[in-house]
Amino acid sequence: MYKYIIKRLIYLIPVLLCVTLLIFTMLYITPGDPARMILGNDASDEAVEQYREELGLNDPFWTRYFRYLVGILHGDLGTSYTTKMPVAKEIAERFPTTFVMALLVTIFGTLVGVPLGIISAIKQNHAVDYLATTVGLIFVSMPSFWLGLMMIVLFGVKLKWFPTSGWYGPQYAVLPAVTVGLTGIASRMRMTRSSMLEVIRSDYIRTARAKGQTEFKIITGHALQNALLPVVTQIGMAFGTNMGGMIITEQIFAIPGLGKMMTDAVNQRNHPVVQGGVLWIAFATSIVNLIVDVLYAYIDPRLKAQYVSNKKKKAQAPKEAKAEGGAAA
Amino acid sequence: MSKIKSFVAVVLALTMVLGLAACGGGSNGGARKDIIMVTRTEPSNLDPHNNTYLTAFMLEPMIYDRLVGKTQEGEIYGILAESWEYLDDTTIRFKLHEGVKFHDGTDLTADDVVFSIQRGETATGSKTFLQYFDGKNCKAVDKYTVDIKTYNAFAPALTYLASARGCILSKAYVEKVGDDVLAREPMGSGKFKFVEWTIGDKVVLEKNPDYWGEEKALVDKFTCRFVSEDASRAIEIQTGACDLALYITAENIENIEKADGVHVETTNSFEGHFVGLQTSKYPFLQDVRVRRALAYALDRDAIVQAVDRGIAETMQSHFSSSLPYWIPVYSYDYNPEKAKELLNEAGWNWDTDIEMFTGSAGQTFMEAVANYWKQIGIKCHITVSSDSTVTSSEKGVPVYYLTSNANSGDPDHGVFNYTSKSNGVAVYQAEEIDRLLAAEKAEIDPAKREQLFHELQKVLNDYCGLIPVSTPKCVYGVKDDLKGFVPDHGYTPDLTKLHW
Repeated sequence: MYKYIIKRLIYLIPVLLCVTLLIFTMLYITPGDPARMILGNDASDEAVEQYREELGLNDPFWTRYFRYLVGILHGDLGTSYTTKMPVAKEIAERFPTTFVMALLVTIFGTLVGVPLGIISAIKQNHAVDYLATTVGLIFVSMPSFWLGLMMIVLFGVKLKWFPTSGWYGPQYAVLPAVTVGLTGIASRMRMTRSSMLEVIRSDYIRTARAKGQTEFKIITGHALQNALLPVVTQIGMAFGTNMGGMIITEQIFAIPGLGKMMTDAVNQRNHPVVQGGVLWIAFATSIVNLIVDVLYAYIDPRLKAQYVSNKKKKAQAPKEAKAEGGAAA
Repeated sequence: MSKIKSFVAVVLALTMVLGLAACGGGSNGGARKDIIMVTRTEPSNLDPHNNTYLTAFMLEPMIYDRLVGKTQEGEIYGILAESWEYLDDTTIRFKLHEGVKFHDGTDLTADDVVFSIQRGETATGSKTFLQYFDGKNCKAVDKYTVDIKTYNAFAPALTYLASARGCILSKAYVEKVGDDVLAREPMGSGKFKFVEWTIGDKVVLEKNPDYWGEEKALVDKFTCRFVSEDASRAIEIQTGACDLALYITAENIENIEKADGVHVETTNSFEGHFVGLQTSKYPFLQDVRVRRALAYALDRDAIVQAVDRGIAETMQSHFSSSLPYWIPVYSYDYNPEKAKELLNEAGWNWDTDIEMFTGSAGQTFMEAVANYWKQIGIKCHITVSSDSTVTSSEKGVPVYYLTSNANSGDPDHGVFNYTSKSNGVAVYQAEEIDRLLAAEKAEIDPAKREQLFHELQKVLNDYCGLIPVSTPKCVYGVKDDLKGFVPDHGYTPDLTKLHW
């Protein structure tokens, strides 16, 4: 198990290296002069040129890239062009907000989406199923910025139930979390439904019914546990993506998270912050994926068997291990 | 299964704890002792010499004191300066108030003033204003008397000292903590003390109870929040979640007017939106007949109405009518026939395709301009780029969208695009303009300076190096019972006087 985790962590290195090269190249070829952006329109050309020199923007591509890599190795993601603060510190300041948001969104989406998916699977082709899938389709197709604005108009302006922007307490989290969560509900519901439908038809469920097990226990005890696997992957991926900040939602609700940091940084051509942010998102997504993979082992005993060391495997059940190796890959 | 349950339980518990940890602040009922303002942009720092953000220009004078201030009408009044006099054309002697204390309890003396001018003269953010000051030769005569020197006679000196760039820093504090700390933890002698800066969210200030002057802050706490979405900012004031909202856009005005307890206040800005002509680099624009023809071809009133949707006025000179010494001189009223005539007279090649450039902010503006030109048969096409690239690329095209904001309130700041050095792009070998610009800068006598500006505006109109189009209005959303608010032309209202 530990070997596996370490192996995965080592794989991270080339992935992150590629990410740095890609984002660095992209920013390098994007038009726009950070020095001019920072100094503003009324600064003289000489001042801008001097500032470009100070920022090291006049150096050749590879010099800048390697300087950046060396910095990362020393734990230095660079300094923000605008705030002059270390990028790592800026990310650290913004991350808790984004993390809480991502967590709330994921929990909301899961707690509502998974049960809905189960219900519509059990009641397949009934009115409930049609209603749930249609509503799900609507929410999954709705752009979140529009949904967010509608939420603000209804619950903030008309009903005055919740504050509409900022991040100063639990009541501020409701509208943005529901906005992003609703799209999550839809995808989680659809995934749970199709996965459940597959499982419900399998032989062991029929066996369970035959031996007289209650329907509730069949669903929760037997079917759900197997049907949950792809859903867990999906939840993990969604959580990983959200950890990078919900760019548009954070903008609309003025939440000081990573998403807002990234949009501001892109607009200001604040290269170090963009680079640091993307690198962080790549890192966070990889780590969450790793955690999900490890979680799998606990949810699914068949997979756990794989992580047991080879010697034990051979001694215990050589054939079984071989058969499952392909499935897990 | 039980493992999943316990995992879910842990996650839920964690959420609650983090949720509670995220609490704090929020609005409070009863007698208000605080003010919440919502603006568009977060400044990069609050160092008066190292940024060019309007938000910073508002907050810095709350934390720091300046030698002098300037009223809405352009009158200069003393703040730290008890009195001042011109010793000669390039020397102003300031007598400082005694007993002024910085927030850390130390005295503000003439040395701090000299230090601030010297620092500002070369710093990136303040150079444009303070480069005219001769920092090296400024000197503290005694503890409370200071001589400020300018390199040449410089008329806007007091106005520039009254801007946020004229804030007086504590020499000891800056030398102790360094520029990076100063940028994020400003410490001055002003009516408000800096409390905290939540990055991406807000800056909080509190009343300085030991303020040296008689007029202290009227509220205990001031919060400046950053909400970049136009619609979100409008909704904040509409729902009463904030007390003052800046940069209200045309489509949101009606909703705010309809809401209870809030209203909209508008005033003319110090801005100018122009069609920029790159005269110095493109020979075809060096014929004054071509420039005038391009101006004659535009129905500017219609453009202003369509683009700014009623919250702007058509410019009648080369800077905002809110600036002093302004006179209406613009003489190229919409006349497409005359435009064609002038172009033919100049031997215009009707196959010339004029390249136009703008950022997304100026897209509709430039499209309107291009349409009018196309109507008389001029070929042109527009390149639109994201905002960040405008400034770097604009110099490579003959026609571009140009905005200026003379937020210092001095007309000299309003015509900075015309200087033939540095950023001056609109002028090609126009000695008369250069001469007048130098003369108005050097003229200390207001009456004579006014004459020079009148002359300058006429010359600029004849030269027609930029086509002035619109001066947008500053639109503020304000709570009805907020007192002491005066809508400012430069989006930098005096926030120290706000109260309930």
